[in-house]
Amino acid sequence: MCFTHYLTFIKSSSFTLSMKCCEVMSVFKVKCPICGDFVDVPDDVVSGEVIEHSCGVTLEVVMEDGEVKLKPFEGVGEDWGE
Amino acid sequence: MGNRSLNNLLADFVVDLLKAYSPTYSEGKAVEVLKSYAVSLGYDEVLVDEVGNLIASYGGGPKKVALIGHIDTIPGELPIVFDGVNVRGRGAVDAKGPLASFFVGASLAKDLINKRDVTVYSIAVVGEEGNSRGIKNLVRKGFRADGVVIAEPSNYNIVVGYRGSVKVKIICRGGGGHTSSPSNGDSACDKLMSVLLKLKSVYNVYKATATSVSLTYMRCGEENANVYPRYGELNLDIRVSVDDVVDNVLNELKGLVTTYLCDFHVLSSVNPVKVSIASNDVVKALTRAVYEQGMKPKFVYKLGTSDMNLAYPTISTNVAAFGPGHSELSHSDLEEISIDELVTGANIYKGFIEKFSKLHRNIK
Repeated sequence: MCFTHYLTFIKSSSFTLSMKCCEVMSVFKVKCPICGDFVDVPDDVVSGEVIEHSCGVTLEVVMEDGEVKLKPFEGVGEDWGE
Repeated sequence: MGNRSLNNLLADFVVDLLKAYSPTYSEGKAVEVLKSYAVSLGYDEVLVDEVGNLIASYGGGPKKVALIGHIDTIPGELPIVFDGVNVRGRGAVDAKGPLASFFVGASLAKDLINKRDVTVYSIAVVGEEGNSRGIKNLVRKGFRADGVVIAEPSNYNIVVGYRGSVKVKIICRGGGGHTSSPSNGDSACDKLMSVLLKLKSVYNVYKATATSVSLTYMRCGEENANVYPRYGELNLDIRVSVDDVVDNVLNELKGLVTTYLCDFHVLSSVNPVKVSIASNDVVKALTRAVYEQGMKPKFVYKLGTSDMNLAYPTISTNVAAFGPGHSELSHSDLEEISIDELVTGANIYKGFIEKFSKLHRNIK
């Protein structure tokens, strides 16, 4: 990479924290299977996404017959190698 | 682009990359092949930096997303075979298959994002199978991004952590003496064995959330068969739990080695990396992109290391690893990947860029 491009990298990296965000995320409420309180779930959520709830539990989104449900996340698996 | 032409493009791309055999420190020819493909795929800018990394990009926005894979392979050239379905050859899985897949996938996302908001980088780094000189140069030169995917074969799993690694040499010395008499614990070999057995008893679980130790080299002894050995050394590869840090392991090691009046030297080290599944936008965007392809997203920690250990946290804290290909075939003589896997991977990378770009717009 030439020095000009190197400078471009550094210059553009200064924008990292100046992102303009103008839209508000839409959410709906789903009951937490552990504490019973409502959990804010983004309206564009998909099955398999993981959400943390304020009661301390980690929840997995499950879609069943078009209905969004939450179940306790079973944890991260493991794999060998790189 | 239709599925058939995408199949053909990826088949040609990966075969051409495999033909340019590129063990670590000999990546130049493969980089030239990649460069011509990157230009024809429509990247606005294609550069090769001073260590040999290829950096392709498009868009000009302040939000930066990077896909990073490695173009070097382990040594050991294999015959290149394409039977119309699968491609075999050194690096097919680790990691020229994923590399071709994301260069194509990212280029397909070009018309799906607002290029005034986002800059997309597809980067092929050199030296991942060696001293990681490629990713280290990106870090050193100040490359930063809001989100990074490290492209490694992962069986379509989303990798959210890698163990760390510390390689050490332990040296023990003894005072000699006749072997007809008690050694009084002053045999270099005995000390070395004691240290090794103690370490093996402490770090004996091969799990992501545990630290394990493996002996990779050992030497001790005397020419004379009746003298207690005066010198011994061994090398260990210690893999550090995703829940720990290298410094903690080194402190424990120091205490143990000192007990036996031995010394140790750190040969190399890299900290583990573990990212949030719930609050990491890269993970979220990958989850949605995998789901879109009709698969259930799964999350894994890997027992090894990758360039993700070095990308986090300097290049980005929003990082995960993902790629098509059976990771269990990596470094084997059976490296093979199907064109279908590459196409699915390209579609997931394309979806990832589209979704990651949109996710950031949705945060107030």
